[in-house]
Amino acid sequence: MESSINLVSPKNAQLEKEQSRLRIARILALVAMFSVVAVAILVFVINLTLPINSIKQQESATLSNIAALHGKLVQYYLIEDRVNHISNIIAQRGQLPSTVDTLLAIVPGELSVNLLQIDAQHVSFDVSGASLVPMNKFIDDITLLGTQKNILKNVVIQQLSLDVKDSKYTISVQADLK
Amino acid sequence: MRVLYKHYKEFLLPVGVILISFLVIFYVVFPQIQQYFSSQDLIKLEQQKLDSLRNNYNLLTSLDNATITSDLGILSPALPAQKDFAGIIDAIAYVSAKTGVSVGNFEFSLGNLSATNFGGTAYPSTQINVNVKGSTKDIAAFADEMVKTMPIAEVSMINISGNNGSLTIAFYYKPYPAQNISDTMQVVPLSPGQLATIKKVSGWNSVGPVGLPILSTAPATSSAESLGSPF
Repeated sequence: MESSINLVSPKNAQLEKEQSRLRIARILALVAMFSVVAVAILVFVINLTLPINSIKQQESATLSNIAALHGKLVQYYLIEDRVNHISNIIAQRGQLPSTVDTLLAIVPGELSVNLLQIDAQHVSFDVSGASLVPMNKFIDDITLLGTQKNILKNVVIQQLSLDVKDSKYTISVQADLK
Repeated sequence: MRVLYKHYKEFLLPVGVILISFLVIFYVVFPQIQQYFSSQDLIKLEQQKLDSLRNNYNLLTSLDNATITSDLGILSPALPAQKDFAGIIDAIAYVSAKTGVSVGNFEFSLGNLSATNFGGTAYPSTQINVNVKGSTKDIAAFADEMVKTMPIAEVSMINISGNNGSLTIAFYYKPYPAQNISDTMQVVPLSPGQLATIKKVSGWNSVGPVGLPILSTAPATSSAESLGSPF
């Protein structure tokens, strides 16, 4: 006689396993569905609430305010344009008048300038006087313009002559502008 | 097949739901998330644009009408939009009287009249050779004053022989830029350097009447923004 009876048939165990799998699958499906729907709605709502339209409205309001000041804007734009061009020209233009002032400033009172020719690159001038002493000072000062003040270079004394009739010394100087 | 179907029939719905959920994630949720990030970038750009417009508006409202009209009135004759013969002759006459130098004959050299010369950073000029009479110091003062007189000029050559002199002077001009200015254009306050230039120019000798440019008061249309200079 059988001492033990197996009440659970293998078929029932298999069925229960499948039921359990089915339950898990259903739960997973529900979780997935609700999660996806929740996230989709959330992102949709967030996208809807982004303030792009409000910013654009403020932009157009500001633009219409600026449009009322268009004349002022044009004036300001022209001022900027003129100032920039004038600054450029001032920065680029040669400084001949101030160079001439500097050159004339070193000519001693006892001497007179007979000739002065200056352009962007070269300068030449003739100076005359009755004494060689101021002439000497003048040469010293011209040398300083080359070495210290950085205005001239290649300074050449072309000629030093004496007009016996008028008792006048004349010196001709040529130089390049730096 | 039929046996399999019968066996797994119950699983079809949950598996289908899970698959559809994945499809929804890829085709709906991800694009929405991407749209969120691109919207954030767009918001940033629009916010910058709005800030720039607000700055423009604040700057424009803070400008004093009288000051900008006066500044433009100073700068326009300093750098005229076109050859200003009357302004040049007035300037020479004024400086001649101021420095005590008498002006003899002078000749204009007009240079290249082609419009290509007017664009970019090139500065067209009207060159003039002036013969003057006066002491060396007066002629030097004449040259000195010329560069501090409107219209803006450059002395490019000075010849002084005894009491006679000749100067080559270039008077610059520059056409105004196109005035089809968009209201969205960024406006920045004038720099200290620019303000110093205005101050410097306002101290120059000014002779002729102030000639303000004719301003276009209508805002530019979008198509106008692509147009070049009308000059």
